[in-house]
Amino acid sequence: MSNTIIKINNLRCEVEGQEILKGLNLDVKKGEIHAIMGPNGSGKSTLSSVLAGKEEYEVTSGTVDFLGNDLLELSPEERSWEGLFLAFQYPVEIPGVSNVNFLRTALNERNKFLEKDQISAKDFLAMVKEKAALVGLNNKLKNRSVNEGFSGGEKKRNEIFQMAMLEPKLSILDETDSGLDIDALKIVSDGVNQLKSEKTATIVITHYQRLLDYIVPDFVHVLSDGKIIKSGDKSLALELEEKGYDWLKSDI
Amino acid sequence: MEKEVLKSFKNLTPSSIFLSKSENKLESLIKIGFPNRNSENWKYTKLSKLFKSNFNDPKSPSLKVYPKSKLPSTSTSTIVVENGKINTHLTCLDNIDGLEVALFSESGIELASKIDHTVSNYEDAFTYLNGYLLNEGINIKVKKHIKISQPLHIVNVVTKSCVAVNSRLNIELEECAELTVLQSFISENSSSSFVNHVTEAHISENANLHIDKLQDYQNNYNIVSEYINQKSNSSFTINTFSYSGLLIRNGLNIDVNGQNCHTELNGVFTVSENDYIDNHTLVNHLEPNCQSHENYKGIIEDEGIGVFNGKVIVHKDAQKIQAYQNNNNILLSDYSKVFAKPELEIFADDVKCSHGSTTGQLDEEALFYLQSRGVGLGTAQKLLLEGFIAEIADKISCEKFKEYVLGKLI
Repeated sequence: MSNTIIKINNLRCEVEGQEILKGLNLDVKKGEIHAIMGPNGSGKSTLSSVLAGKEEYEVTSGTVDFLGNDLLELSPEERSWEGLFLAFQYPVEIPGVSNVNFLRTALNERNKFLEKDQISAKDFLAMVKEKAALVGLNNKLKNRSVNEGFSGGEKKRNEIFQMAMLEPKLSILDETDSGLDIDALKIVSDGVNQLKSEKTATIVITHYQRLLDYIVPDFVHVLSDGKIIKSGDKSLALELEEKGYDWLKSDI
Repeated sequence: MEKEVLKSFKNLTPSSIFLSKSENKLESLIKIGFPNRNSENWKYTKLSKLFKSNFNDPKSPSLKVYPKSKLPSTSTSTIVVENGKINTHLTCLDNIDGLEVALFSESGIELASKIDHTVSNYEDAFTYLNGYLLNEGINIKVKKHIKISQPLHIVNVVTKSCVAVNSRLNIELEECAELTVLQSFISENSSSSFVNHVTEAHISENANLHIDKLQDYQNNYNIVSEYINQKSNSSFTINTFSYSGLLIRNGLNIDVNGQNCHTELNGVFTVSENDYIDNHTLVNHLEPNCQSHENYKGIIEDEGIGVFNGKVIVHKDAQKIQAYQNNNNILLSDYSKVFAKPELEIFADDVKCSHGSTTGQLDEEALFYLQSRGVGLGTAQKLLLEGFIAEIADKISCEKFKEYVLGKLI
């Protein structure tokens, strides 16, 4: 069996007629952590939105293979059921929708799709308890409306909590470090590291090298103007931190 | 003139209850006539179809089985009014100390003198029509200091097509009394019928009345006119959930006639197909130091039309009033419509009042968020709509009623 989790081939994508991704290639295998770095407007968040299936993004060419599926043909919920997870940069507040109730609904819809049994209330609660402890999510926050009135740090913890609950095969963390103080950053990173396994993979999208001190990547890619212009190991991130993105741009 | 006004109702037999009053009602009705599109308060209300109908007298109750599937499964005392008359077979009323239930048809003239005190402050053609054609009325009285812990369920069911039903509920709470009423308006194997209902309530000093109301009329017409009178230190809450009906119109009028009163009116209306649901409310703050809270949420799909018109009047000497009014609507289709008009008229100078109304669509970002977590689109929409009305559903006193109401969303 192939070790590849996701294979992105020459992906081009437009938003409102403007091309953002201009032929992007990326291979992620089981057990790997990839970091994607790049300046503002380089297409980082577009990449995560396209992979999660956001409607406004129109793919004009290229293919994305996700565990043997044509990812671009799947609805956002089907992508989730197949094992894709996106931790949002700006998690939305949803008043009136309970955090744990919606997660139970999500798990049950996935189990139905995978033709597995529905999760019992007892097992679900045990799981909530275990996973919430992993990211230090306050008991009260679990039962509140989704992200409503959460601080920036609490929202990000909640994202990782949901990730832990859904046990994805590929997690994409979109600027999870933004808005986090150093303590929260550690807790969130610890959570991600504990969830890491030989069977799963993570793509970390970030501006700054800081997060990569905690979530150590196997590969670092630099995204600029819709393409990956350089790939390397974790030392590339350090070099970027030191020299800035202009160093690479002038290199081309 | 009389013929023209009563055209749709010419086959109906005038009420034999409180005879002298019913004649007065006819006179008043003829004097003011029915409203039309030129009447400010009725300008969105499509009455033309109603007036093109030719209604018949309702038939006697015949239901043998309680229409369970269409009602919340409460296990409390239940009065079933079928086609305007009591269905004695399905009515099940516990004997409760301090609670008196009487029928207008079995009461004497002494009851006649006790009703209509608040109604008579208002001129309304359908209320006059109700008095003229009244089939039956229920009078509920809770005596001083009696707190009824179990809710009382009153089911108004219409089981015949093309009939006009005129029913009435009268509630009198004496000092320090408490009562919760569940009111269900439903239809069973009926279409093109018209249920014209009037509720009048008198809430004495320190008394507390709570009403949870459900309207699910499918292909029928329903006009409910409510007249509430609150005395000092009393509390009144009404939660109205309207789900379907060719035309549903709620006219809720509350006179706050004492100090330190609490008034709360909430509603959810879901309008689909070609249905029309209209909530007109009026809170009359006549005395100082009171609070009123109003919150209505509309969900409109297909070619449905929803109307919210909430009015609060703070009279000249009613200082220190706090009156809050909110209305939010979600349109689920390109052809759905809502007309929203929050109104405040303030004649006092030391008050805290606010009003606001929003109309929009389901939050795309929230939908995508839920989908990306593996909640299918349909379920995600349902979750968001449940979330949208959650703060109102939470006000329902009876858990079974709440479950039922939430279950009816989409």
